[in-house]
Amino acid sequence: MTPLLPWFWGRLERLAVDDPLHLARMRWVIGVLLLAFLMPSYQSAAQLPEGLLRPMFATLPWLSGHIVGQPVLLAAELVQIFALAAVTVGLRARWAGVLFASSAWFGFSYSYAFGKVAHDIYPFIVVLVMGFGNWGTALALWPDPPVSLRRARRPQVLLALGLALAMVSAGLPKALHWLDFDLGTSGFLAWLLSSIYDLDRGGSCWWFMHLPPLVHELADISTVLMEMLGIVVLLLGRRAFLLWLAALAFFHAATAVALGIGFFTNALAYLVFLPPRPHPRRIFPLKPVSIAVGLIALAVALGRLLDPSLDFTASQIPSGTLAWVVAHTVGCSVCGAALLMSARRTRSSHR
Amino acid sequence: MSAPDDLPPDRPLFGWAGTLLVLAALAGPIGLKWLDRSLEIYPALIFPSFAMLAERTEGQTTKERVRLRRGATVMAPGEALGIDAKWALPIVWFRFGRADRYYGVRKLGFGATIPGGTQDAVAAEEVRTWLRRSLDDGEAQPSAYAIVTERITWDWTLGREVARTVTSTEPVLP
Repeated sequence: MTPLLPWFWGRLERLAVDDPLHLARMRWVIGVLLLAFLMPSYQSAAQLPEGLLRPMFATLPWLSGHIVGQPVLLAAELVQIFALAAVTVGLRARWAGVLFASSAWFGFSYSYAFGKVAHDIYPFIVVLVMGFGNWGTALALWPDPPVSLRRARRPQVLLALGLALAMVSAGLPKALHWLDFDLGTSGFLAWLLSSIYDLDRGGSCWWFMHLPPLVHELADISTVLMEMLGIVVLLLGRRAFLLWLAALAFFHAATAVALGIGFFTNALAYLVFLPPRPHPRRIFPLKPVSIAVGLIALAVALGRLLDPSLDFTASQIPSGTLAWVVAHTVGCSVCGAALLMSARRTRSSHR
Repeated sequence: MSAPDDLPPDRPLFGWAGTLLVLAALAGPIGLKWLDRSLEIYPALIFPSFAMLAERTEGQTTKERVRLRRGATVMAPGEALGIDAKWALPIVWFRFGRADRYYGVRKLGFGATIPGGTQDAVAAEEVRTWLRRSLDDGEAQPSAYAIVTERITWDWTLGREVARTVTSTEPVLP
């Protein structure tokens, strides 16, 4: 075997967090917040005529050419909620994660079958993939069987590589068009105009229209750098990776303010890479309390599903309104701050 | 010291076969989408790019947008159809036109044409029926609606929008 593979995977292996209890806490944080605030709904797809179908390649509606009925999509939402609740309280989190991701894939296959794809899949993939490590083995009602140390690092390594490549998928087309160093053109401005005029997200977006062309150009360059750097940062060690994740989270906060586009779920998912504190303070509740909070989050998700008028969550606040902007900005900033502080504690040559 | 079932310390997390499989799963869909947007596999790990550019020409920037209009009122995204605004981009930006093009989805630039055929004629009629039902809200008939393309001009010296003109108007249901 050439030395390339051990070197490459060895560099990425440095990014993994081993402590099962810490990972379980991150599982709980992500599960509770997704359940309480961010569960997607798919039933709208059943309201639309099949003549509007533009399904994505190799999905169920692409294969069948039909939309399933509203009760089927409602069932997918129920399965998704209960499966995520099982992940959250640690009820065989590994297979509950598979069920959660499968129901989300099923639902999104239909709700994204009409020409719009929101590309918000990363948190769902995180819940699916992390189950194959050790995040379901602690703080759990019915723990997963533990996985040996190095095998348990595989999920996080794959998620880190997947995130970096996904960022390249967003950054490369921008790099080809936006890096023209011409103050007469701007990619950020194109997003801004679309947010204001196509999507009616006024509010804070207007303020950014008044910035000088140089700032718009710098926004283009920094966006491309941010999205393209990940693939290099992966190989530099945990500290650089955490700094990149923190920068991404703050970048998502800025995107919420400037464009009314929310990526809080992504920022939340980056927390699976957060290393434990050397001397953890008691900021996480004990197991019975954490399970009770998980069940409350389940009740909130079910209540919202059964009676949409109870919905007070971020997913229902119209994008671009003050409450929505504040919720997303604060959420992303808290994740960014946590990642930044952990980077400060991490030596660059960790492990 | 590794657990008995663990990987030996000198063995990488993935061998060549595993590495190729991982790269195919992660980078393959990105390459496919790069080749042709309609080949996007779901759920591939891909993030949005939207690498468009806006231009400032002679101190001004222009922007075109397509909206539904009822009477003299330009509707908000999704408003007239009574659907979540989230779906409004692909749904509202439609076009009826040539015999083989009943419905167009501008968003993402794919799937703009329904090829000819009996089944497609049925599907197109279903869309028309849905549109009639959705637009008929008791206050206005579907014929009161039009698809308008607006051209908006922003002036950078003045720091505000200076013109908004309608460049085309088409009936929703010809």
